[in-house]
Amino acid sequence: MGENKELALSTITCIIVILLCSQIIDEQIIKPRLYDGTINQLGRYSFTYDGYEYISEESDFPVIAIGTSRMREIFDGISIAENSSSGADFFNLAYGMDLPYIRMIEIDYLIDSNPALVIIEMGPSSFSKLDDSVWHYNRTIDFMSHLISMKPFLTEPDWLEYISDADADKLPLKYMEQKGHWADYGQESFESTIEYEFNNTELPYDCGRNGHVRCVPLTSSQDYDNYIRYPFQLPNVLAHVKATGTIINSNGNPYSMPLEKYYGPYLNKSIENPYHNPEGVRNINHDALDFIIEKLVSNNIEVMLVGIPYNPVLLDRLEDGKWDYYNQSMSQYSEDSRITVVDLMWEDDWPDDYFSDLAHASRNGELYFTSKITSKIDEIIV
Amino acid sequence: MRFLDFVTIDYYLFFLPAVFILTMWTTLGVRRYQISMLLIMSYLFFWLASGWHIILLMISTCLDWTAGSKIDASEDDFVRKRWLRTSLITNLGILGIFKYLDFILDSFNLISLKFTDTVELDTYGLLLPVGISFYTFQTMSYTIDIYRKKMKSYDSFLDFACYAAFFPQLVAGPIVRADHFRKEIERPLSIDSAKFRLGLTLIIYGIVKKLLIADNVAVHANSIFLEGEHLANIGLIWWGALCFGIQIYCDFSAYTDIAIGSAYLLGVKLPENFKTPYAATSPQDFWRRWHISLSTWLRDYLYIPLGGSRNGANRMIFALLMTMLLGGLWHGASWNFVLWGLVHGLLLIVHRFGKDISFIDSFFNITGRLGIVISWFITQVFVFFAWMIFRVEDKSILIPSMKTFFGYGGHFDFEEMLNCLPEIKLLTAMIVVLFILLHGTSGKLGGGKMWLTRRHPIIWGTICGVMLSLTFYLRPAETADFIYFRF
Repeated sequence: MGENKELALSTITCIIVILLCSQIIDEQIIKPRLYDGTINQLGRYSFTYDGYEYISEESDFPVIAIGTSRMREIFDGISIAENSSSGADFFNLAYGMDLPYIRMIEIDYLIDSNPALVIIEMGPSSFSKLDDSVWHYNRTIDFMSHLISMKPFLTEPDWLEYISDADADKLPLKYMEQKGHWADYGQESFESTIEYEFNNTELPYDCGRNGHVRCVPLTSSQDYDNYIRYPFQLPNVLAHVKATGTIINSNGNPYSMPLEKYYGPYLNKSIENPYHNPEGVRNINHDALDFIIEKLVSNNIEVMLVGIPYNPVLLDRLEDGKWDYYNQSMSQYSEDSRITVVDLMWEDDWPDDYFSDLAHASRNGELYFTSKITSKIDEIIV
Repeated sequence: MRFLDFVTIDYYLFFLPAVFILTMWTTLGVRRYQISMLLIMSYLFFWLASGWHIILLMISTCLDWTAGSKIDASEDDFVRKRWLRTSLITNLGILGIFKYLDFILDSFNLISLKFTDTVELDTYGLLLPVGISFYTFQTMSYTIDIYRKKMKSYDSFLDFACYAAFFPQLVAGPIVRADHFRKEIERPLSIDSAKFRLGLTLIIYGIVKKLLIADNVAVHANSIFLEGEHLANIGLIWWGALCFGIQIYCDFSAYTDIAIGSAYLLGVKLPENFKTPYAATSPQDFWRRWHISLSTWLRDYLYIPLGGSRNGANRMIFALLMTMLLGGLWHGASWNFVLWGLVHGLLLIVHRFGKDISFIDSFFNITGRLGIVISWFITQVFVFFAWMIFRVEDKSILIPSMKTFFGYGGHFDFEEMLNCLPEIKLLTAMIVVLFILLHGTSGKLGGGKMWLTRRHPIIWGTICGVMLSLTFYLRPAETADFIYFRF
């Protein structure tokens, strides 16, 4: 073999091996650790791209719900399918701390999964402020960086024009930065994989059929199909408070939380959280929501905006006018004939035992939501 | 702030390919154009790495070129000496001001504080120009060699400027002798695919050693010697010393590998700087394997002029101690480097005289291979002890660490050790074990890099691909600067 041919063969082999190794490390080492909650807090922060791919392969008639943990906790895709006459498959791809500004990163993959209908959760966080003084903001940037690094791009996606200049400085928008961001998970993933495999250490969270909310079963798992329709749910904190006057903290230890305190200072503090309040003016989050809606509509995908209620005690405690921007925006969307708006926020038939805390639905709430939403869905897609 | 060096992606994506294309392809194989292009790109590299300090390099270049030419042209010993003195004083003056002035002032203030309770002198806070210790020694050796009539001066200023500024070795060596470099560039630079693959292998080896090994073990060494907690734990101190020893070797030899590899791509062969130093079985053996270009420089321009080994035992002790003390100080303006040099000087002296003691000689004759293993173990214990001194500048951490290293007042607590170490433990331990295995076997394979270069292309591609992938995924999020950039 000539020397130049040898050099070419060496280089080509090296590149192929790098690609193979990357694929193996991504799939066998990093992704399982992202899914099982060992790194990056919530498995669901990493599962949506695979979810869209799974949906496109497994369903001819999918309906996809997106939104925050409130949508994750209320949308039981299995129950809805049982009650619906549409024959559609219902998938729940919501995740905690979702914002339109974050979700727009996934929009092309969502469209590629070819849904008949996309149900978008609406709430105060849909219009909340994105500001670096807001406590969750770094998490938002981290989360966006994470999503970007999961699907690195060489050509600029159209959502980039909605990213603010300040954020563009912080986000990995160059290809190598995206690859680098993803590779940063390598060390921790290897370390924990060695620990689990060789030390026989148990996974930190249960990923079985009735698993922990932080864990997502792998797509190869037999639990996955159920999971993507009806994900693992949060424990019913409110019922626990009512029964025992305590809350179990993240270390598994109970601490005192009588109902008066829970609906007193605890609620008051929670209600002040900017995430649970619209900014009150049009902002980049709202722009991103419109971008998502426009993209879906222009791809002939039906869109339903659903206002999911909060615990009625919290809604009663809101200052007058605090969520006016939410109400005004919802009524504006109602005038858009291309989309369907279902606002359950202010309905008074949601008692507090339909909630597992201040914001998330309990099993009763889920079932009630199912009964209310299924017919609306059927009206659109049947 | 790092602008351009061997761990920035820009070096591999833009700078090195640009230099390769501009030097090897656009110059039509004309040597003068090639050298001019190399010089321009070397100055660009230095400017991107160190900014206005490039002026110091240019001053050194012009001065040593002039001094070399004048010394070579004159038969008058007075003139020759005057030019040599001018060159040495200017070079050492620049080095002294930028590297040691603040250290001298600080030391003076320390003494002053002790006796008068006042600080007398303000320090200047001068930034150390990148690579100043390396290119100063390199250009100094040029004038000294001409003065000693060991070589003729360069005919072309362009060639000499290229020698002084050649970017692969400019910042952290190896310290190349002028005669060696001249031979490398006397014909038009050319590259064949065998050399190209060797160059690539060296670069890949360097990247892996730096990012996968050095930077990972550095996290452990730093957590032990920067935080300075639980310094009485023998396990922790030994682990810290081991990690730092591996870090400094992999960090520095990585730089050298990348430098030599980059030079290969441009058709220039630079000398080796390391030969599996942790396989050394004596202190003398260690210095034949560690930073070879510096140790031979110190031998030729310091140890021998100071008396060397042929003028009696006392003279030799003096020459050895002075050489190692100054060698230590060359690394940086700090007393721990001086102490490191002293420890190595003492080790060399003990070894020099110890090996002549009859019962020690008989012991190693009788024990054969076991004796070699014992000798290797003792050597490496002291080498790693010395690395600990090299690493720790803070004496409140260094002194207890030194005591604990030899078990004085120390204890061993594995649980405590694990609790003190950073989160990534198993992976680092695996990297350490892998390094020890590879370091031990690479000598037998005739140098891992050479072994790999000779493999079939598919094997070469597979091994390099796996190494690069692991490096990409297992490097720490933060890449540390090369340690020898500071020197």
